[in-house]
Amino acid sequence: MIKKDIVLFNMVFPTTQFALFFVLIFIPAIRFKYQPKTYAWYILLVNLLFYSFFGMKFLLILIVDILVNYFIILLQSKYQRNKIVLIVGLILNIGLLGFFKYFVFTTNILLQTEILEATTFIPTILIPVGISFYTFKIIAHLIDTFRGEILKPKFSAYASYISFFPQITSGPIARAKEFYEDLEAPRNNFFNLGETSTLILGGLFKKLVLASFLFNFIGGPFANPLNYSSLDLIIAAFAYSTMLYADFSGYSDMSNGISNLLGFRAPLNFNSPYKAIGFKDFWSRWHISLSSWFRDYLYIPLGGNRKGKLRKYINIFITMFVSGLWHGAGLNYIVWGTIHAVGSVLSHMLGEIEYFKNFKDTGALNKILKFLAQLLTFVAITIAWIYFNSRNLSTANQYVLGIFNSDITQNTLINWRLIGTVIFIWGLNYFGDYVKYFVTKIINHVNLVLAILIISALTYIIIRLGPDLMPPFVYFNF
Amino acid sequence: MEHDNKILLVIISVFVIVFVANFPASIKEIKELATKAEERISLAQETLDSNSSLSLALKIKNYEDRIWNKIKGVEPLIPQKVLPKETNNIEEEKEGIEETEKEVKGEKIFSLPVKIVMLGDSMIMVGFGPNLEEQLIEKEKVSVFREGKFSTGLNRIDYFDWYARTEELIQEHNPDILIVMFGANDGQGILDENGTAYKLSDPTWDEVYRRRVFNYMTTFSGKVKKIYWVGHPISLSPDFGPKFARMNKIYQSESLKFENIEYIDMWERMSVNGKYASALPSKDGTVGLVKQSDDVHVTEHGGKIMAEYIMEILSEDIDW
Repeated sequence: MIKKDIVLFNMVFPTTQFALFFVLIFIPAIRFKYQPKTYAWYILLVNLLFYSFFGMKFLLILIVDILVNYFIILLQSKYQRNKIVLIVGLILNIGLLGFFKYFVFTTNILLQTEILEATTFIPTILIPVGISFYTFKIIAHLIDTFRGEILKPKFSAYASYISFFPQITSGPIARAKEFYEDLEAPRNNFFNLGETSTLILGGLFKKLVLASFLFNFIGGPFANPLNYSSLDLIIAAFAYSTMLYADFSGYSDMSNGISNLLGFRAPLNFNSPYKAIGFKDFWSRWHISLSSWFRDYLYIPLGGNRKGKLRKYINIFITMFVSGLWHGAGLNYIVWGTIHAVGSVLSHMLGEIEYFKNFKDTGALNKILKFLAQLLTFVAITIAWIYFNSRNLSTANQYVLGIFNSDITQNTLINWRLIGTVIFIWGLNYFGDYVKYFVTKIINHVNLVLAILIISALTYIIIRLGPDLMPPFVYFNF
Repeated sequence: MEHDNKILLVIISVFVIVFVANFPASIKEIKELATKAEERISLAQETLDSNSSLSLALKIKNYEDRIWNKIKGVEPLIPQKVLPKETNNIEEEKEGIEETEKEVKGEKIFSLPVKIVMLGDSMIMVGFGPNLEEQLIEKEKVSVFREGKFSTGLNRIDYFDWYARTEELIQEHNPDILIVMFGANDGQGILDENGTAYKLSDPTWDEVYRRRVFNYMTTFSGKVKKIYWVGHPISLSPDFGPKFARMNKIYQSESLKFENIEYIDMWERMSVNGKYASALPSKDGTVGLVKQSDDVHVTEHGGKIMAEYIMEILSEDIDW
């Protein structure tokens, strides 16, 4: 069983149901999109319809959330730059998000400290799908309005931005300003056929074929690392690392392609993250909309780099640490956040050394050094993911120790398809853009009939190479 | 406008081409969207029926399926359209017989080494399954293989056939013990041996599901030394609670018909005096929430408590 609502309706991107849904809503969309007022209401209607597939209770929470926050926006525009209104808004939203995300964690602490009695009836709380992502949009909007960067939006525009269906379940966290610009401006050619179809097909391929395949091999080693050899644990760690990239960037690509089709620009969320050099570089390439959110709404308000080097490092540390906490309440997430916090601070420190500042990847030796630095970063990031994906801290520690010393000698994950897929996904960071460019060029170059046939053939191949049952998206959990 | 029309033409054309090429799987997916969960089983039957036709198009489709499976490196699942009919009437004869039928346990059944296979739905995959595996492998000379699949059970074998998969696992691992847990996804319409669909609300549903369970038990009780059948923990979910109670009754009564099948009552274990408990202590005294937000899956802590209970029961049979 996976989440009941998802099983019942399966309204996620790579399904026939979603494709039909999209075709049906797209026909009126191309008629309405030249009338901004009507289009905003139409997009809102579609968003609510889409979200209703995840459950009516969730829909109700979303609607109330939007209404309350729009009221706060109205107050903000009435009492401009009023800190109290902003703080009330922030407390409400962070409180709501915290309530849903840390309910189990907090309750367990209360039980263990006997503040709550074991016999107390504690209701089960369902976490609304995408609440993290739409709450981040709401908070960004409150702060942007406070800063005067956004003027009071119309309700239809605000509500359609917050609930925008291609982004509501797992991001990217688009910015309101661009969304409103796209809604107001007559739009036509933000995208071309080749680019958009390559984006969607690429996302489909990464999720349905690559990530779904790797999913089969990861469960065992991460659940019980003591049962696997060192080599198996290494393979499974890289399999998870690459699966997460294929899963999440695949989702983001599809989401962005769909946004484009509806006439909205969408932020680039992944930019070959596994060829990053250092943690700082990694976070400028991985889940970019989230890291830029943390930069703009946490790091900079904390003082950023404006208050000296030490404060800068402390601010970086705090930002990465909070990012870790946002992902989950367990100790393993705290360790994961701490690894990234320390890694990011070190990256910044190294980046200030003259040698690295002036480093150029010219000449064979420097190219090799650059590649080794990329590889080292990839390995470090992969080790950190072990903490991210483990059930708890002790299992994660067992996993890491098992890599160096395991009692099991028999390898069970030596499988050419598995290892080939891991290398292929890692390689996508280096040659993925060329493939995209090549496919885009072909689709744009040929006539429409041939383009349709190529896109259809690629879609069909991807579907057939995919599994009978698609595993859930990893970031649905956040 | 012209650009949009072009895009619309592409989207509709691609959708139609892929939809037709992927027939009948695509039509099944679409139908499912507009169908209540309980009625989906008859759709599954329609698909099986259409697959069983000998038309050239379907033969080609089947051949194509085999090619894709070969590329993906997976064995195709064999849909079991009609379950084997019960070979005798022993379940009727034994209906109502209480626990006295079972042999009174005395000495340990197993000496080491012991091979265990754990299988079932998502409960085996997360929470309970990993915790039990973790506790089992701490024991010396115990080998464990665990396989769980999301959204599966003994009902929708058109989707995933646990009968066939269990057979494969037994052949691969030759276990002494099977630990199984099914049912979280079985509370939906069901097909009987003749292909007739029964809704969950139909009283006949229990009888058909009971035969599924009995068939599973009959098939595999002779192939391993013992099967431990894990029942569902108590649930307050109006959706799942009543279903679980119904299914637990079936598992319990059917297991009584086999000397080497033991039903493990998790409903009782995960409650306090038969009443729902949000939080329970594990053996080390740590108190924590036991259920995830859906009130079906257990938390890590809940999984640990379930695993500890199974270990106690296994300790009666295994000379660790």
